[in-house]
Amino acid sequence: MMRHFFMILAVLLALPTSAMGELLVADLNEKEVAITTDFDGAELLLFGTIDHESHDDVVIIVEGPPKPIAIRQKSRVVGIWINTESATLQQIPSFYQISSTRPLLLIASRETQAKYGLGLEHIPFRLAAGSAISQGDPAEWREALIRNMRAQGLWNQDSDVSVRKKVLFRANIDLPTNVLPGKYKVRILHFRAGALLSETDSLIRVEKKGVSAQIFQFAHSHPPIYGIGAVCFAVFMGWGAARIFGR
Amino acid sequence: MNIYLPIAEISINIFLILGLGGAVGMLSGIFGVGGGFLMTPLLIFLGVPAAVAVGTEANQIVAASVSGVLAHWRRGNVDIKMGTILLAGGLVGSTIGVAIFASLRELGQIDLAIKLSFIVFLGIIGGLMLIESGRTIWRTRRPGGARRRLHQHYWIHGLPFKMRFRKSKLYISALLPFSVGLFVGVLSAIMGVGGGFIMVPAMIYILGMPTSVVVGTSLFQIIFVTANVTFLQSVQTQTVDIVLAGLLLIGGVIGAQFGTRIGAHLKGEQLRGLLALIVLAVCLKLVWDVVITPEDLFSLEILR
Repeated sequence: MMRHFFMILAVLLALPTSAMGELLVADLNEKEVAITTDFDGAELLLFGTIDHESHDDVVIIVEGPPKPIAIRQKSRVVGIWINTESATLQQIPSFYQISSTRPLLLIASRETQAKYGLGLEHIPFRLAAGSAISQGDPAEWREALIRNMRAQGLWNQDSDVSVRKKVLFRANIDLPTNVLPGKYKVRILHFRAGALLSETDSLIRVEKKGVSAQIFQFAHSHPPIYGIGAVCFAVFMGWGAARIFGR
Repeated sequence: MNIYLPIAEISINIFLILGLGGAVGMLSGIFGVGGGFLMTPLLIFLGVPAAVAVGTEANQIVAASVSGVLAHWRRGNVDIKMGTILLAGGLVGSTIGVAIFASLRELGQIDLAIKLSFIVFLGIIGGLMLIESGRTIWRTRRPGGARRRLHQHYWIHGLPFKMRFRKSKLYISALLPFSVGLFVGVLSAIMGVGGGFIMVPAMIYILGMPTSVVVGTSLFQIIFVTANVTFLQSVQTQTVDIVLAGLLLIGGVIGAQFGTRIGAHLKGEQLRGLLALIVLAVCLKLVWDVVITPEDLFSLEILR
């Protein structure tokens, strides 16, 4: 219910007299997203200005903390669907949202996209050491990864950056409730006529805060004490319930 | 209103959780069962990771059993000697169970293992209860029929380490309750249940305990076995979510109050028949889940 709004102000200033062409200046006014007990996702509002020359494009990438991912494939064994194949991928962004003013292919060539890592298909797909895809086509596994990450709302590719009066651009980026805490890299790329003019990077920290963060931390840093605490808590609650209702 | 569960790491509607606790609590009040065997699959249906559902449910059962055992204790319906032997088996079993759980989780097979265990046991228990209550209803309508023998001797009565259990009026091998406790302990750890739904029939039909002490004794040992599971799961897998457990508990305690009152107005065999249908419905849903072709054959797990 409580929707958190975070504003990122990015100002891309084109200095018309600069010999280098364009200079990109960006600023974030909110650098922390807190995952609290009432966390219901967050919305990053990102806007700024671009030079109003025609064919200017903006590409915004928000990349979550890299994590290894296990992909498992089910097959039918005596009538039951069982995970029979599995592969582990090396560190790969646990969140990836790319938003652009137009579809990527209209902004830059495939080679350029690959060079700057633009788009879901250019996220590197590398197997972890000792892991192998023994059955099936690796491309199928790669598609499965993209499909599943999209389904979980963790990877997205949209061309929904709106530009008003050819100057003001604006993008809304949703962080779903299942985002992992960590550092999120925000990349703002400025393209003109298929070439990258400039890139501005900044970081947003997504952190667990408040009671839920403390519980999580404690459960992982002091497991035995957490376990004893959980048991004591349950015994106390059970005893209290019996007292109150006099069973 | 949504609440972010710290260990499950999902945001879920708080009233949904309270309602689920209340509904299962009401059923456990009506039928006099723990409810873990319903709660764990229902939590999984709601999207709580299976491992967290199991670890958390063990924690909740500790509380439910504590409040349940007090009444039996006051009436003297707890056979402590029997309970201790069952418990010894239960502690060994649940420790083995948590280890199995942790390795299955590493292999990526824990979800399936949990579901299959539930299918097997819910299927057997639900089926047996349905047949039994059907027969009782049938018999009360048509009086007569064969009576059961009062006492039977099987090979199990020849086992060594015989012990006298005064409260249960039994003289049997200690190996029997120990193995029952061990078996239920393993299941308790893997399925996140107290195991009352297996323990109680085993105590009546295998050990031959009088029904008056069965429930109290089973609750007595369930407290310690689920406490052991809670502790070990916290240490080995960090899957115990005390926020989720607390919410389920609050709902459960309130639900149980209503349930007990409703249960008093219903006949025993009708109750068992109704419970059997609920158990079988959950079982069928789980069967459906593992048998139908999944929407996507691939699944992901983000590792930490």
